[in-house]
Amino acid sequence: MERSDCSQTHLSVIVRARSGDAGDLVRIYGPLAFQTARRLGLAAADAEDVMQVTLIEILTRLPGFEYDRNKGTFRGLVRTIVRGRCLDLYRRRSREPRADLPDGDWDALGVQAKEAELEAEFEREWRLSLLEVAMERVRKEVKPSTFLAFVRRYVDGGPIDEVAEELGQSTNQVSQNCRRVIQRLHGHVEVLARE
Amino acid sequence: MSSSSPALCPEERILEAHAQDLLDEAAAARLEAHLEGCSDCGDTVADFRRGSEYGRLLRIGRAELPPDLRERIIESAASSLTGHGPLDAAPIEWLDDLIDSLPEEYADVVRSCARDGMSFEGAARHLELSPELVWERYERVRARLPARRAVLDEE
Repeated sequence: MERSDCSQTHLSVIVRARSGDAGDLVRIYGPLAFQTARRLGLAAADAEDVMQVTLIEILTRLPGFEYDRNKGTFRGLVRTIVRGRCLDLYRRRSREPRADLPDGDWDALGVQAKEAELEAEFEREWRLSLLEVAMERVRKEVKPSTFLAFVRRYVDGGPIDEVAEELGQSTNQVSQNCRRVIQRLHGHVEVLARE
Repeated sequence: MSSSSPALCPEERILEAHAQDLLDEAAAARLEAHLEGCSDCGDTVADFRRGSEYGRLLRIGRAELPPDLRERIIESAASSLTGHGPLDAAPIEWLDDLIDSLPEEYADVVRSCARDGMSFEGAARHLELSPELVWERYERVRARLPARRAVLDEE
């Protein structure tokens, strides 16, 4: 057994944020809000502003948030907030002529036309954010050589023979180490995905 | 489903190669026959396939938002909860409350820049102030945003 996990990582991100530990909420929903705002056409600096305001609003709403599948998911709420803040910003900016924003209304950004695409990208970005947090957790739980086997094989795409030689492991040990990391990642992602 | 004897099971590197479609046709067929009667090996192959999906997602994600930029964004996100937050993108209704709570000279600047979306230069012309003074007043409000926010939320 490698290093154990003694933190409250089995609790949902929302429950922990409510009790004052907003670390994972920030790590998951910060980049998600930023990337969503970027995909809605905002420049990086504006997307960062929208992200910050979104997080403040999320935390403000958190005490009253009751999870109800019929009312939609928590990430759905986040998505709604991001879009609202982007729209606020766009409307305010469009009162002054700007070269980097199209004239007209929300439709001018082409949002409605590519709704399905944006939703798919939002879901992918959400899964990626969960995975990045899970990666950070697993990195702390296993031996460096175990974690590195996964990174070199699955993220960097290194051939198994090369990775085995680089890490001083047999090819089968590399596979075993990769599987250990994958199983732990899966466990963390499942917990982080709970809303 | 029952499992085969572990002694008959292939090594994990073989199962990984199968999950990644790296075995030749004959070897893959033999392994498929084994997988039909061995749930343990089936689970192992499924794990490796999941790993491939994770790797693909991480590669795409890191190409779009490199790790150092992601970390900077996370730091910026965390700072919004403890330090200065932006005014530009604040909710309209909340901005109105903020403007109402400010002294007139500060309220004019926040109304022009954050509420009405003017540039500092545009607000300076509108308010007949220097752009530097507009910027200074705007930043003073921004710097006190968390405290203001707490007061407004309590109210």
